[in-house]
Amino acid sequence: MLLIRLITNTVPTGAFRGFGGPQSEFAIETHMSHLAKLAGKESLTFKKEHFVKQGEETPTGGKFYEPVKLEEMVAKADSLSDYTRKREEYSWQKGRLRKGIGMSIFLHGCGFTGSAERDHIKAKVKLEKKEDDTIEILVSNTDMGQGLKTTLSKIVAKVLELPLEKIKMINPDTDRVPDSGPTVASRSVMTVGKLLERAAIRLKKEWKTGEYQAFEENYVHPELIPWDINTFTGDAYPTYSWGVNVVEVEMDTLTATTEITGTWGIFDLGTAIDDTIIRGQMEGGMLQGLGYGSMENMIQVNGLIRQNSITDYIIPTAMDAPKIVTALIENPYSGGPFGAKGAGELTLIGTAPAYVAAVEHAAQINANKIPFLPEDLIQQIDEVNRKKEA
Amino acid sequence: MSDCIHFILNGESVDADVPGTARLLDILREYFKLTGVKCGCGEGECGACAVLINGKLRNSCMVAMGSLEGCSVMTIEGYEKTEKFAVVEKAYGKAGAVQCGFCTPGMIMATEALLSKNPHPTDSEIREGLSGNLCRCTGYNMIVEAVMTAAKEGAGLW
Repeated sequence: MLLIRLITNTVPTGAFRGFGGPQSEFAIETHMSHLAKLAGKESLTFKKEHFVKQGEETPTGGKFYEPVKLEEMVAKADSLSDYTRKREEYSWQKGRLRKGIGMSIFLHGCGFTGSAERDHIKAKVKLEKKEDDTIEILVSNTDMGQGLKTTLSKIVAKVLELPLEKIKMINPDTDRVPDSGPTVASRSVMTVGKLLERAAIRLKKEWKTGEYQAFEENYVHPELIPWDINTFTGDAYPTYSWGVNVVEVEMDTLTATTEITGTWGIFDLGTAIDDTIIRGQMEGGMLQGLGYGSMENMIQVNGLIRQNSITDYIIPTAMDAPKIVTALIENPYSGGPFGAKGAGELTLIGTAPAYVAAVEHAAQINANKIPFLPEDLIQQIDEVNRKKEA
Repeated sequence: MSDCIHFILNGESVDADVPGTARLLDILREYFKLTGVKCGCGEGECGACAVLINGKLRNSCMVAMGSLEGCSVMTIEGYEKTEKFAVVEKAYGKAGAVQCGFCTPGMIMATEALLSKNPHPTDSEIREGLSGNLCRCTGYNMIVEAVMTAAKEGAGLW
């Protein structure tokens, strides 16, 4: 046997509102727009020709079981942002000051990949009814600001037709709560919330006023085409959430400064359990994605990150945040509580490619990296100018 | 005269037997146990440690104790007891302006600093007033809405 040991000094990477989602989605969307240009087609027309439909196969040989509402979502995005008209109008600009508009169309898997829920997580939840008829939710998932306590409590309250104040969920203590798995992978509401919905339905049926009652629910895998970990085939996810984002920019091609003048986000995340919380996820995720696509630079040199601190790693401030318009397209999923799917990661991944598409549109260039900084823009504009002169 | 630094903390006269070179942030958290003041970056970028010093918004990680002799310091723990806070709190809740909450104490002190100077700010004045306070969760617009609501609901208080 030959053993080769390699040593690397690259900095380990980690999740950024998902493992690999933001990076892949930027690459896929940008690649599709570049292919459209090569085919002599408008980006949206080209993408529409390749929309997946319900019942069709996924890249891993799984299936899109649920309705795919991309056409409806694009139509909504178009009517809110006036994308098609602006896209045409901004296409032939020649002056120093220009506008651009770009669209991204994307999906995100909901919950753990493949069979992880079945084989490793084996989630369990518990619902306790106290003698005073108040309810306690016992799960290991944490509220880190994404609004999980409110969302899970609302699910249980809605099933039991009780006011929200009757439901309690305290920060998990592993001495008391069953292992319902980690708070990751856009799974908490869809997967853990579904188990709580089932427990609440049982409690409602067997409700005994003034008595202590407890119900546990175990995860049941909704597997249709089994996931094969060796060949990476089968259903990678039980279902998908979808998004259409539009970003509009104004650009000064002399100074290479780009201002984001409008941002729209249309999402299909099944059903929103709480509208304010979901708006917070959408707006927060979209601005995070805009920072990621336009300014958040992280360079490694000889195993060190050059941005030593938050002084060098610039994230958007309130002054950088554009107006964000959001809308939901209802598409309830039977595997989630009241139809809810994953919402955490999805909201980040669309704005970086939409921003880059808008920049490409205004400057009439192809961009192949993010963050796409003023330095990158001026370099490309110079190249275009040099080619024109030559 | 004692070796202590005398200042007003949340309306009360205090003596702090601490080095003049210590950071106000550390003294607030460790000595006075006022942990509503957060340490985000420790270098004056993020505003999580913002407090009011003589009514002005300051990042407490950038303030040496020695500069505080005779000053008045207000943290979120002191502000919490005011009528204005009740209005701000309600507005933040209504707008969904809080997610993880780490930036919130500083954000609220920035809100007070802004409204005390400008009781009817425009959208862009609010953004400027909050621009020294970083938030990674909300995307800011819901916080801007909260400040707008507080200004409206608290008419007369500022």
